Amino acid sequence: MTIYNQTSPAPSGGLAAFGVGEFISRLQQIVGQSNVVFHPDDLLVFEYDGSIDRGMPRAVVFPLNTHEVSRVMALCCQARVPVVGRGSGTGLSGGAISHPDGIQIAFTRMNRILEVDRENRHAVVEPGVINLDLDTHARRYGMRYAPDPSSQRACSLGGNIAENAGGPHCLAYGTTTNHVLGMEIVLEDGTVTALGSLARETPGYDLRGVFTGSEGTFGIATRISVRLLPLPEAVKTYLGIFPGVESACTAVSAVIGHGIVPAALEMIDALSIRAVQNVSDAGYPEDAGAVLLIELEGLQDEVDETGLEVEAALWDTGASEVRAAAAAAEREQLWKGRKGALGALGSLAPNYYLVDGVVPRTQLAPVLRQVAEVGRKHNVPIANVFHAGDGNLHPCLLFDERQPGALEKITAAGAEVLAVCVAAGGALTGEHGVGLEKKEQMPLVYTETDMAVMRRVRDAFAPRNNINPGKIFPDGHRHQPAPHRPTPGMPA
Amino acid sequence: MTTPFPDGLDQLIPPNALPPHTLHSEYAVDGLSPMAVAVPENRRQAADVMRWAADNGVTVFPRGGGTKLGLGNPPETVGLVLDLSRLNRVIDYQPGDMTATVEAGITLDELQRELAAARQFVPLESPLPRRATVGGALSTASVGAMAHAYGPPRDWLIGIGVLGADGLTTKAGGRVVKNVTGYDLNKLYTGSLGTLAVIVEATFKVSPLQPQERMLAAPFASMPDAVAAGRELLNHPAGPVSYLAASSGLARHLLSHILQPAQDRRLPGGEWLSLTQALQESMGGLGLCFFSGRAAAVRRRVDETSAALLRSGADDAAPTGADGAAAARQWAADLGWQDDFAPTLSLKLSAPRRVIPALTDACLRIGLLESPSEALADPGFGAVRLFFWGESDDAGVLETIAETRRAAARHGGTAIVETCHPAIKAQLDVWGEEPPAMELMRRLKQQFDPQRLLNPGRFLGRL
Ligand SMILES: Cc1cc2nc3c(=O)[nH]c(=O)nc-3n(C[C@H](O)[C@H](O)[C@H](O)COP(=O)(O)OP(=O)(O)OC[C@H]3O[C@@H](n4cnc5c(N)ncnc54)[C@H](O)[C@@H]3O)c2cc1C
Repeated sequence: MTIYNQTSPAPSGGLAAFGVGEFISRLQQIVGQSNVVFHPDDLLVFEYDGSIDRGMPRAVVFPLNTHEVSRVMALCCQARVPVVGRGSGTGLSGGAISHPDGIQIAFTRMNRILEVDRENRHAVVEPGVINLDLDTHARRYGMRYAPDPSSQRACSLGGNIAENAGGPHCLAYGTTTNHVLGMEIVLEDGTVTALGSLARETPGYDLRGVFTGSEGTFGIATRISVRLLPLPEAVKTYLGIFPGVESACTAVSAVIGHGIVPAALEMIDALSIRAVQNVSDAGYPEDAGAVLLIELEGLQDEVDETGLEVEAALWDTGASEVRAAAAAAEREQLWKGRKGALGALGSLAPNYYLVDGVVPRTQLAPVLRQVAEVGRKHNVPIANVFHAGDGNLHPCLLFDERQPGALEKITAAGAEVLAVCVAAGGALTGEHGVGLEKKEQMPLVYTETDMAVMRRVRDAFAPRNNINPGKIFPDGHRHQPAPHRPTPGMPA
Repeated sequence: MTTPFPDGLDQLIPPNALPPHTLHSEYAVDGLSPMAVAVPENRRQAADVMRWAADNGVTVFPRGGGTKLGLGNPPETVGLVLDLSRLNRVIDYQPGDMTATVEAGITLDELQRELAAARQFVPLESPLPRRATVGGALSTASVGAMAHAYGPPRDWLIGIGVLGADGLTTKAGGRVVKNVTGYDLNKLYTGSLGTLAVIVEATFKVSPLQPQERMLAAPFASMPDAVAAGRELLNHPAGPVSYLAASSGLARHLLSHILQPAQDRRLPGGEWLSLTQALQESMGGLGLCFFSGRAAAVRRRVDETSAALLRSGADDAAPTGADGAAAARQWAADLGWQDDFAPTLSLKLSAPRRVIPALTDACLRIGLLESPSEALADPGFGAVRLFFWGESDDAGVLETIAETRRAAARHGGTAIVETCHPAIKAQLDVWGEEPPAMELMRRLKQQFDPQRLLNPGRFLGRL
């Protein structure tokens, strides 16, 4: 069931004009014979990412350095073969899905941490470096890489830059874009250039800022400089057990009302709690209606003082139980349920469809009510595991792909959930990107003119539209989703 | 402009939105009076004016409070000054959401006052905040003393409404604190000096006001000592949240014009600054340590930083309260932009934070003829502002700029000329050398403003 843009016209020229064999051999000349994959069997794993979209590339190349990327890009541009970068393929909006007549550039061989500078608090990495590997490496120097997507064991920095990835700790520290200093990029015609620098600011337009979050449609990042932050002196984690989502949402407002911005503030609802407990005992009571996880970081004095207020706020808003931990191993225990929640959903249904809508914080409770309503209407169970502190919902619509009509049903329900978020003053996606998945819903948020302005930026970076075409903007080619499969390399 | 200036403006907006010719000189850009000035009352009028300009090919110079209008390359001619200061409404502020949407002409003071009512603020810093507007602070990506603690404006802007060069109103981002729906044009417009579009609306995420603010002022024998100490302190977990080092001339100005008078007026809540006269005279540089947060944490930071300062060679560590700290922060932001303390030349250097001590050192060796330079260094954020008060002919100023830029480049940084005489600005690009991505920037300008109507010639590469 390959469906990416089947109805969209192939670019003029393209592989057919060039001759597939000839094209492959040119690619092999650039990156070496063993670094081009083109047999359909070998391409299967490159057909999908973490989303429900599909698209088989004609070939995947594994360049070793910027120079090779540049030559591959130039060749593809000349041949009018669309290109898409691929990090770890954990994306949840179809960003890395290939055009049917296109190729993928994968960065598994460009995965070196090139530089860590303690004094300047930065690291320079190749795009294939795994998020957690960078963080682990930085910790040896008493620092960390703050953006921590839940997929951090698998996802790459290149993919993080492209999607402007977030994570639990982005509440206090900001998302990927707040941590990118600069990068080297390759444009669609093979031109290599630099954006930003190792300083916080450079004269001219903030191109590294607009490149971050451009979902792989502006160019390929071949070298990335990011900020590292010093490790906090103290960390304390609180877990509050609530009778229901409503009271947990009140607790979120109460904490924020105290003038506290925690490092992380996450919520798990009753259905997710059941899933977690099915898989292993995370210590949640059977009848818990919602669990809040709050992490405080900073000076010991700050953590102590705000900790008392957080604890009081949790009790005041109806928590039936509050647990706290300061030691690393115990904190890990409190996080266990949250970290394993998405994986545990498998114990409830074979598939889930994760919707990334985001709403103003004060709208959390009413929106969650409406989301539940959408679920009831479509008879779709919905589990919520999400970044409550910044209003970023993750309703997971549970289904079984083998049931006829299931996919259509959850896609329709997902679209309704997003409409609810937008109506509440929110947006389509907080951290996963628009990609293929949500492009037809862009008009919910932006007018034609708004989008025309955005396209101007793409036209400046990629005037031939030869890199990751057909994403983000509605073009009338409604894609049909295929069911979620486990992502390669992802922890269970 | 050789063709006569088109008319029709008076048909679009009421007479009180069109200041008479006699007042045009007050809106001069780098000494050039505009052909017309429009002060629209609302966004609709602003859009009408912009569309009129587009239809008639009239160049548009957006203006907020006019505090930083001198920033940028000098224009060749000035068509229309579009004064946005009357677009000053709070559109939506929800303290519980910690977001605020405002029109771009609201002053920073007014915005902060609105937010303070709910014990919140947005970490935007700018000179002359009673006049400076949100739109101006964003367009110039203005930063101040707290940049290290809170980050630059790009970190706080989450949604934007702009008027394009075609007069069409568009938006990007939204009112939620985390959002990747479409490209992040917030980043593109921030710091673009109004050359891509005119900002008319902005949404910020806001921050809780910190209950306590304090400052320690620490005199050092030399400026390099003061900068080096700052770098050490910022690596200390219980150090200051932000740090500035001021060279002796600037430091004396701060003490005598800001802190001393504040002390004399006995502002409430302050512990009085106790620097002795003798120290003031002997000091080569002054370290300003800023603290904010909860009471207990601030107390510990102040105690540990005081001790560390004295260990690292400071002659004193004099505390001030919240008012002194706020006054010093504002003084730092205002430097170079007030009329009564205007330098001959000032530059802003950005560089990796690790090189700030060495770069400041190099800069202090640069003078303007006989007069030494004065520097305000931020070893946390990675910036040095350099000021010259001496007199010189054009060649001398140009050479000083060139020398500063060489020093910046040697350290992996850049130097922007912030203020100097327009005649000198005409002989160089105030933004410095064209970066590798200049071609991309040109293409962007071409896409957004093909007629080159918006602040033409004023930005990097004379875009
Ligand atoms: C279980 C699970 C949990 C997740 N949790 C989070 C979360 O908490 N927060 C979050 O933000 N996301 C989350 N995600 C989504 C995903 O992990 C992120 O979007 C991640 O940034 C994608 O990285 P990747 O390396 O897998 O990129 P891919 O999926 O391979 O690609 C994503 C996009 O990046 C582009 N790209 C890749 N490399 C480059 C490059 N070098 N230059 C230019 N473009 C490039 C691709 O073309 C594509 O458009 C989760 C996903 C899963 C499966």
